[in-house]
Amino acid sequence: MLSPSANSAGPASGPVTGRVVAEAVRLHEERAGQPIDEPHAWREGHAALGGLEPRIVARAVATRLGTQVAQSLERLRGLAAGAALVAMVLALVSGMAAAGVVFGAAATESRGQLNIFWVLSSLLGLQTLLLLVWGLFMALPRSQGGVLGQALISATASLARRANRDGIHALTVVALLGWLARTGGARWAAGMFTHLLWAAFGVGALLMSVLALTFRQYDFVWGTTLLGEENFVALVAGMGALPAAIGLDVPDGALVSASRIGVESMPAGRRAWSTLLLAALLAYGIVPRLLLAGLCRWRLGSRLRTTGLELQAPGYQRLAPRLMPVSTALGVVDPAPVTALAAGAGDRRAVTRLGPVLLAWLALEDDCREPLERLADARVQVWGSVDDRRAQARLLSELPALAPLPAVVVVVSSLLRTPDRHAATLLAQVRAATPAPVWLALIGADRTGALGIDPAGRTRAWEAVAGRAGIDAVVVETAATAAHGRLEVLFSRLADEGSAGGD
Amino acid sequence: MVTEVLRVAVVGHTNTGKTSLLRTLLRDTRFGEVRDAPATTRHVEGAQLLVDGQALLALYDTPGLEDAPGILDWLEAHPGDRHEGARSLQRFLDTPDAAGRFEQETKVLRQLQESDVGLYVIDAREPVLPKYRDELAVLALCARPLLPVLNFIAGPGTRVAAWREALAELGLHTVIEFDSVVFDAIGERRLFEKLSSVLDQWRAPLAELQAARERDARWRREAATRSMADLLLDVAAAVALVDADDEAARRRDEAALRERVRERERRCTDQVIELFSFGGVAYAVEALPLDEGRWHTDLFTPEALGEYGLKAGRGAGVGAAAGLAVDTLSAGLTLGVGTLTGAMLGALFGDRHGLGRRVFNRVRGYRELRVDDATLRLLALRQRRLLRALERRGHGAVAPLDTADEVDQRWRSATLPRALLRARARPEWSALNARTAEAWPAPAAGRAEACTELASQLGEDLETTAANTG
Repeated sequence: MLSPSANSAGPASGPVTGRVVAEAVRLHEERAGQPIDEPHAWREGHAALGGLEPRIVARAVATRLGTQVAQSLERLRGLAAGAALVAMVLALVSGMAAAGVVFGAAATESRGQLNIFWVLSSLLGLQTLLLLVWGLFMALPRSQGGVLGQALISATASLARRANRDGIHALTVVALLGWLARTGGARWAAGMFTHLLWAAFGVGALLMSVLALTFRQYDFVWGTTLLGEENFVALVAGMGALPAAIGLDVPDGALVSASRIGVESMPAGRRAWSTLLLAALLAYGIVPRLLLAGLCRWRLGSRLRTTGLELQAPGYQRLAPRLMPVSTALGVVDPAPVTALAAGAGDRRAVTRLGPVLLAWLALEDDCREPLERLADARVQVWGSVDDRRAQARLLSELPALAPLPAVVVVVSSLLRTPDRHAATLLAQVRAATPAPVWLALIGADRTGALGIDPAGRTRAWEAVAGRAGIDAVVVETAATAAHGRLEVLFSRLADEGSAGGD
Repeated sequence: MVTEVLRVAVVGHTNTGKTSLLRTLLRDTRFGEVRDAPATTRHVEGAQLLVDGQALLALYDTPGLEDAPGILDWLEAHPGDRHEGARSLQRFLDTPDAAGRFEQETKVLRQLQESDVGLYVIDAREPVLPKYRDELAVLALCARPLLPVLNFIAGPGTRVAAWREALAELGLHTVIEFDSVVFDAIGERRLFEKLSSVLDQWRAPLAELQAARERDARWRREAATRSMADLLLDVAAAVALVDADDEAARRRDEAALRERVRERERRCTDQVIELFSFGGVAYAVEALPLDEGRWHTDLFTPEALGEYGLKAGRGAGVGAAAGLAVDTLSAGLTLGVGTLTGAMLGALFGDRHGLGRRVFNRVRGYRELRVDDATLRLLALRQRRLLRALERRGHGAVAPLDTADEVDQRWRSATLPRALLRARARPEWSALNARTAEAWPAPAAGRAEACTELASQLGEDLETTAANTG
């Protein structure tokens, strides 16, 4: 019965089936702890148009489990319809039996005398009372509907689960019950079922009454000890108003008075009384129940149709990124340049002691400049910032003519900066503009940690840039040396070089 | 039907987090390549933002601008007509230099010209250097609206004020603050709002996009709080029968119950993290004392309780281990009164096997072992902390633990929510009890409602917290 991929049943036969299948798949996945991973189901879900819900449903229905649940649901539907039919036949029979008992008793025990109000309350009394109870239940908030219907639903569920303890059917029933509860459809389904049962009961009673009244003769009487006659006249007038309105012949006041027990009966009244009886059964027993069943059916249908899946369930939200991504890649629209990076130029120049150290800086924080400015003395010529294009142009134009020639041109920058091609170009231009060696000094190592910058990686990036620009040395201030004073490491390096050059 | 898609070029200096910004907006951690190095992205790569499968906005990640001063130098060296404006840029783009030395910049400028708007990403930790002004000058030649985005604003050492001032001097008054690493839903909303303030004709799709994002965020939070409520109900309703006389067996059962609860907490933590697995989730989770779904301090220790300002429950004195309480009938009424009444109610209203079985077990010398209130509070507080951290990413995770959070306070000391008290008397609500042989028992009556109720209480203030601090 449950062959995995029998598609003949047609899995998605309506929005309700789809949702129940999605619920079943979610229950299964939440129990398993992870989504069912069937690539073809994911594809189906991804390809579905619209919002998250249709995608979830499309995926669920496309899974193997979903197909099985859909089939199981189809079977359950058949079973439920069959059970409902049997129940209605039983109700019809009990209606006939009830009417049979009433008419039979009148025929045998009362010698054909039929107490009209006794008959009516026997055939209509209980069900009218239950109708009131049902109405009361429906008026209560969050109630589960009529007692009878609820009991029937749980009985069916429990039977179905016992019949199939851990298979697909049990899962389907749990999902279906959960769905009915969530949509609030359970009470309407129960209501529809009970109304249909009572309508069947009424039809049975009506049939038996017609049979009895056709082939037997009854005298219609009534009697009271407590109430007055006018009450009964009014009651009959009230009950008869509806049949009279469609032209049926119902008892008038005189007939009512004449039919009281003890008053001589008038044979002419029989027809009017039986019309009233049959009309009352139809109008107050069958028609309202059919109307209410229709109402319940409509409410059930609209509830089931309009209530969507609970998309905020964790089991659904987990699927959302894969079923309905919020973005999609367009790919590379303009490929990376293939230009080879220029290699470093020229030999390394050594420091020769001719002039002072020329100090220029690039892209430093304001508070880093002042300590550098204070370095100015006979050994150090502070050129200043070369951040903007004007300053850069001035440095490049004046550097070749500088006398005396600087011992070394030091460009100070910061490890907090990301080296870029402009810096590389500038460094290369500086190198080309002077015969003196050009060094790059990097400060700011003490601040990298606070900004989450990896100093080693940054140093490597700068060294790569410096290499391309042909820089003669890169001097990096470490966090330890930064504490002692700006560029101490530079000057110690300079001293080393100087002594080496002097040798 | 082909709808027009708003094209947004993301431009900026090298290594300012352009690709990170795209990843966050796209909710796609695999987009492009991100490194703390210059020129990590050297091509132009696009991606679209979708709402229900429909593309509304295309974002283009561009290489970093590195040599804008060089372009300005070039333009000065090759003067054309005066007042030619944007045409001078076109003249530049048509030269061999544009394809050679400035190829990277050329890609950026071309892409911006082809887009409706540019987002100029700024590393707000950087000083306002002349080269950035040069970049803005070059980008202005593209004649496209340009919105500066101040990135890396969540950490210390940012210069937001200096940047705002400098940008205002350049006539750029609409500035977006958005940290691409530390995701913040409110920051994102502002970003879209500012985009639509600049692009009036795109107002409707941008609003639609924003609405969809807020809906997703709401769903995500609800899913998370559902998971959390599910955990709390499972644990509150968890009960183990222990033999009061057999000491060894009791210890073993206690240990087993604790392990089941720990495992359940880990599963919930994993589920919640999974829901938020986009845009630097690792960053948020790393900042929490969490390791592979397990919190560093064990759930059943006084230290864990102390971290969240809780005290061990008195029920532990009866003889159960920390975090557990033995529900005894004989030794007075620690939990007894509460649960007995609960059980009676349960027996009356649907808990069919409640009271009778319990009394029977007691008579037979068994005791019921439960997780105590303090531990339930701890579970709730931990999960709320996790959710806050995930929603606010860095903000929540970095913030000190004992922020005077009103709802947290309530979880700490006020009576436990009614749904949890009800769960105490409903062993069938707990997946940890697993007392049924059926694979698919009927849904326990009332549990779904209790879960929804509890979930809304767990998520209660998160929205307002986010709105106030944002």
